[in-house]
Amino acid sequence: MHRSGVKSAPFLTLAILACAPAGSPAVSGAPEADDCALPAAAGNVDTLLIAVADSIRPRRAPVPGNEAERLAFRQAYETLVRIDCNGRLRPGLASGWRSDSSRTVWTFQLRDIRLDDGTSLTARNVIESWARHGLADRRPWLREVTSASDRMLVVTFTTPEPAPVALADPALAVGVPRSGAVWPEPTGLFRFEGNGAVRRGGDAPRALRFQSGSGRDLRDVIAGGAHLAITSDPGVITYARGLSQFDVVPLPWSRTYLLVSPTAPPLDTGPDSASRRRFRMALARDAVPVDARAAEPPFAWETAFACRTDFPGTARPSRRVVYPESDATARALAERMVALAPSGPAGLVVTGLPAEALEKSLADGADAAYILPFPLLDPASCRTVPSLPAGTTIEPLVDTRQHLVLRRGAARMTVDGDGIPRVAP
Amino acid sequence: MSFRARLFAAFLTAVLIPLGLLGYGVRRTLGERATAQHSGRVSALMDVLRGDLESESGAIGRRVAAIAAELGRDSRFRLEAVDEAGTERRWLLDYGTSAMQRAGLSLLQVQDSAGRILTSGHFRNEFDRRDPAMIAALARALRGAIVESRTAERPLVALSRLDSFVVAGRRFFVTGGVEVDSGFVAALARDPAFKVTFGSEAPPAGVTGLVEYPRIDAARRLAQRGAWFAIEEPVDVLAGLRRSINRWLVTALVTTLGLAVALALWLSSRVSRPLRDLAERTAAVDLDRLDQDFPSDRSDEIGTLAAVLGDMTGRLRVSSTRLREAERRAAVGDMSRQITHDIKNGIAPIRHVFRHLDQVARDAPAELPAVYGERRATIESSVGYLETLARNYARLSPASGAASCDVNTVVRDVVRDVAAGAGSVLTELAPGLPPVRGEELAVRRILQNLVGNAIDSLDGKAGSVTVTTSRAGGGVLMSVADTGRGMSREELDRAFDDFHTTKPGGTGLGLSVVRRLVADLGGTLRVETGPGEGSRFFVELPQAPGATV
Repeated sequence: MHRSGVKSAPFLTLAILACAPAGSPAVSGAPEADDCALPAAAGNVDTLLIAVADSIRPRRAPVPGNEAERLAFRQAYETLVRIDCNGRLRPGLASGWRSDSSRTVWTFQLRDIRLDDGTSLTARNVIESWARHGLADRRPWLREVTSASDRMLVVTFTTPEPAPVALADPALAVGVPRSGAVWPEPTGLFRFEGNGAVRRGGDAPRALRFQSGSGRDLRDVIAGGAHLAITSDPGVITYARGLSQFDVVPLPWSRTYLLVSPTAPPLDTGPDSASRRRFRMALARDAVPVDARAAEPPFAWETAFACRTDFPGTARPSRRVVYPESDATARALAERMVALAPSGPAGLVVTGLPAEALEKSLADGADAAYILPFPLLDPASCRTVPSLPAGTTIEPLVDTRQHLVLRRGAARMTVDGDGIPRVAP
Repeated sequence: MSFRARLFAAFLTAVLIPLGLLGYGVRRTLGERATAQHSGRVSALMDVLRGDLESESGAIGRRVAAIAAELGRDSRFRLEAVDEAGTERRWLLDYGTSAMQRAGLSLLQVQDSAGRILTSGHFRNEFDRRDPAMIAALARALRGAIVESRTAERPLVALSRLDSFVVAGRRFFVTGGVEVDSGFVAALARDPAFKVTFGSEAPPAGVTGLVEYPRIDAARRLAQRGAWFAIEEPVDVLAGLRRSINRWLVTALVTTLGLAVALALWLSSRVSRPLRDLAERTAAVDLDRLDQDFPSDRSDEIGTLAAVLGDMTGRLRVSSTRLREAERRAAVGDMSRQITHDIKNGIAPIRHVFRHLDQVARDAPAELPAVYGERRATIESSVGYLETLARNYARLSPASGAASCDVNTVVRDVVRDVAAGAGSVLTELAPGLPPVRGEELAVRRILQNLVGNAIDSLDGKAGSVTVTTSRAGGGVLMSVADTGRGMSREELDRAFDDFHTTKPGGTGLGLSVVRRLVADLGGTLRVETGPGEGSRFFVELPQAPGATV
């Protein structure tokens, strides 16, 4: 696979690892000061009203399927480890971890987490939770997961890992299944009940309530009393900034948009890295409707794509520049690619596709180019990488981030490395 | 061609030709009127369409002018487009979208004098692309033009107008348009019977009305008549009307044809069947069958004809009855006279014998036994003849089928009997003749009559009668010739008629009997005669079956 300007090495070291003290081979996990906490005055509300754009479904818990679930499940289900806003590996369900000399076998010491039935979370619970969703099976880099004892979990990777960052993948959050229960038993701060969540002890807020803004203007939801919302809509951000009782906090850059071309790229983004950067900056400034910047390394997607060796498709030229149909930023970037493509007015067109159709098109290399979002921080490495035809080129375009709109004094919040806020313990 | 077929053809002709002419006339008249009305409607609709397009173009022009005026006053535009401050760039980039939506347009782009797109409503991220040709081309289309542009997703064809404004001495251009999509085109159709179509290629054949419009293609070339709006019927109304007329005409013709055929069949059968019955009954009528009736309860000519035929047959029945009665009476008379004639022929030799015997008894009684002995055969022969005659009459017809006789023997007997009376009769008989078909009595009666008549024709004067026989063809030829008075042509013509005689006391049946008998025997009769030249009768009789010589 060829990537823009850079012939990538099979693995690049993530910046996250370079500053990850928790990634040492020895058992570690002592909590450090959380410099990812958001400023909040005292007097937290008892019930935190969270505006979300999508519906939240118990069936998928603890694995999030949309942005609303990503935010909601983060409050109730934890991963073994997590990455904070500074890219450092932090304890999650595991209080510490160590590896053998090959750095392929990692042993995790679970914290004493009490479940609702009074028992403690066991390694077996973790394995069952992952097995329930077939998560381990879908991760070729995960060779084996076993329990050394009730609270000792052994994870064997297929290749040496400098740090177990892949286990910070939100899709590997743990929820203990209980027969007859709608929601899996939580491992985090909150337990889901009905349309909300109740704190399992500790300070306010004691409950979370999710207000779906689906089909509504998020500004109406905020004006209706919501305490917290996450948005990338400039209109909402501008509106919230005008409200004195709200803080608007930019979250970490969380997503990179890529121009993926199975054949030749539809346009030349520049002869050198400087011109390409100028091109990306212009895109970020003018073309996309969200807070964006020129895509900056390190590029997690390079590592992710490097681990893919199965590229079944054969590229065929077409006139379409395809993007995920619900992603306005991807659409704007696709539109700009079409506008700048030298093929003229009769040339390329943009087309939005649903997820399945997009995946199939990618696998077949059926279209001229794709605008794909990719997590800026990809703890699971190959997790989100689709199959691509041989000869595909990938060009990073812009990084984007969301903004947290938080009513002042509503709750103490902290932010993970992927830009998802969580109620601080 | 039968009477029925003629009647049938005449009826159909009388019905179909006028109906066909009527249908043709109606179709032609309706077609002409429909064509004229259709042309008028299309012409009116074209005027309306032209007006609607002008009106729409004018409305677009006003909206574009409003946007131009707004931008000319807007400081943010001035800051970004003129001063290039960079602070209002996102506002300007988004302005095209919001302004286009506000104005109800489908196409909007603002360009500087170099053609650089400053903001675009239909293709937001097309900013900074240079399109100077659009301005140049649209500036030459004063009433607006159909512009082929594109959005990010698809081609965009819009009825567009151009306007401009000046800020700080720099001219900017605003292009705005409304998409010419199916909804736009459908709204142009004012008459539901017609639809409006739009195209930029060659219009399809058969399009009734065409309103052409300037077009700027994707390469920004202006063609003053490059696009067209056509008025056409979804289903060709005129053709539909013609088809309807034709359909009804054909339906009427077929229905009429069916009814005419049925009626013609009924009429022809009603007329021809009684005639055929009358013909069949009339053909069955003859003298032997006059009991044929001609019943009819009709009051028309056929009824009259049947009545006439019935009356005629009735009169024939009466006449036939009378005729049969007359024939019966005539036949009885004929037979009586024939019997009398034949008996006289049989009795005459006996009378001659008895006169001879009487004469001998008076003149030479001693020779009486000897003479009797000589003449006894004649008496017995005559008596035998009479007995045979009686038997034949008892059977009412002479038997002649299987019998045969020797002609020379019969000739000798007859000549002998006759010779015993008056006159001399000569014979010239050919030997070895085959027997002829028929009874001897019949041949004898033929010869008796012919020889008797020959002798009578001598009128008691000197002369001769000669009987000859000879072989002829497949039979025997007999001839009886005399040297008597002979017969004129007129006499010969009537000689064989019944009851025609030139002799005093004659019956007039002699030659008539000869003619019948010769015919009965299958022979032929021929006469050579002339006044004063005598007569010669030739009788040729066929050889008896199986006879050999």
